[in-house]
Amino acid sequence: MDVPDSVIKACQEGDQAAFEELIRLSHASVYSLSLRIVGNPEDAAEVTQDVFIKLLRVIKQFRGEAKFSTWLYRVTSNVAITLLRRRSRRNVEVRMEQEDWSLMPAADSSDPAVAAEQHSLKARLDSAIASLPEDYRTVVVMKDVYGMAFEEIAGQLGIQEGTARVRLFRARQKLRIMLHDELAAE
Amino acid sequence: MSEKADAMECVKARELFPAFDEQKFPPEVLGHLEGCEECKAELSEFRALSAGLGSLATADIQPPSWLLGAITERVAETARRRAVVEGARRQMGRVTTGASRQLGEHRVATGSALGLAMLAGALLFGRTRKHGVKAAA
Repeated sequence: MDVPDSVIKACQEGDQAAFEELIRLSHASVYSLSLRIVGNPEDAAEVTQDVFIKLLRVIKQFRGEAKFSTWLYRVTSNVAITLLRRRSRRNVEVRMEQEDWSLMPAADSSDPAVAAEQHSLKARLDSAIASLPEDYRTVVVMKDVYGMAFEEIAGQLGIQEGTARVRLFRARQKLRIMLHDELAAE
Repeated sequence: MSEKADAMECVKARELFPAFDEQKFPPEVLGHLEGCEECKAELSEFRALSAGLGSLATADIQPPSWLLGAITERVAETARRRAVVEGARRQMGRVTTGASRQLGEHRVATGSALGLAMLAGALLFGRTRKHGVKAAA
């Protein structure tokens, strides 16, 4: 996600065209984090829409102390966790089908064979994450994928930092076992 | 060292691997890693897993094609509604301010009238009492 400061500033001043540009530039990243947390495309689309509605209200609160992407990921995980809570209260059964989504083509390697291999590993990682229990999935996505601090994760999930650590380490153990062949070849 | 002791060391070391980036390994685990290829390989897998997970942050998942339009539409609709509500609130604010001002003026007038009436009452009461005392005398 690469949103220029000028676009953010214009959004904070109420420029609607700038806000549309912000949506265009960041909606795929917001959707990706949402999907990795909530685990199914329908809910992820709902979370993504809610994030931008919330952003209309809170974008003025962005002071530039952190990177905009870090701040936006925080807002996104917050909205996604709220949906998870709502879903668990309604006891909704969630359909987990990672085959429903695919990674966007990456332009991070000049060698097509290397790029294809990296792409495939990332897809396998996403698939393994999707198969984790919700408690583990949320923490591993927030910490290991998006680099959030334990304090932040624990605060958002309403758990102790120690609990977040235990969940992360168990999630890593499960992922290593699931991805043993790919990881050993790395 | 016996095979059993070796296996115990492997178990102890491997318990720490998922937290490899959170804490330093104690010297006995570092020593064990020097000579245990299996544990070394397992630790490498955790490191590779961590690197792979970190690389996902920049690997976006393809959103459904309708999503961008849906977000833009909902945001525009919300912004429109907010503008209407804010406009109404500003209007209400003006009406309320005007009404408060009028109410304030009314209060001052009422207060002044009440004050004057009390003063007049006190004077009248004082005079009546004086007369009453004189008449009794």
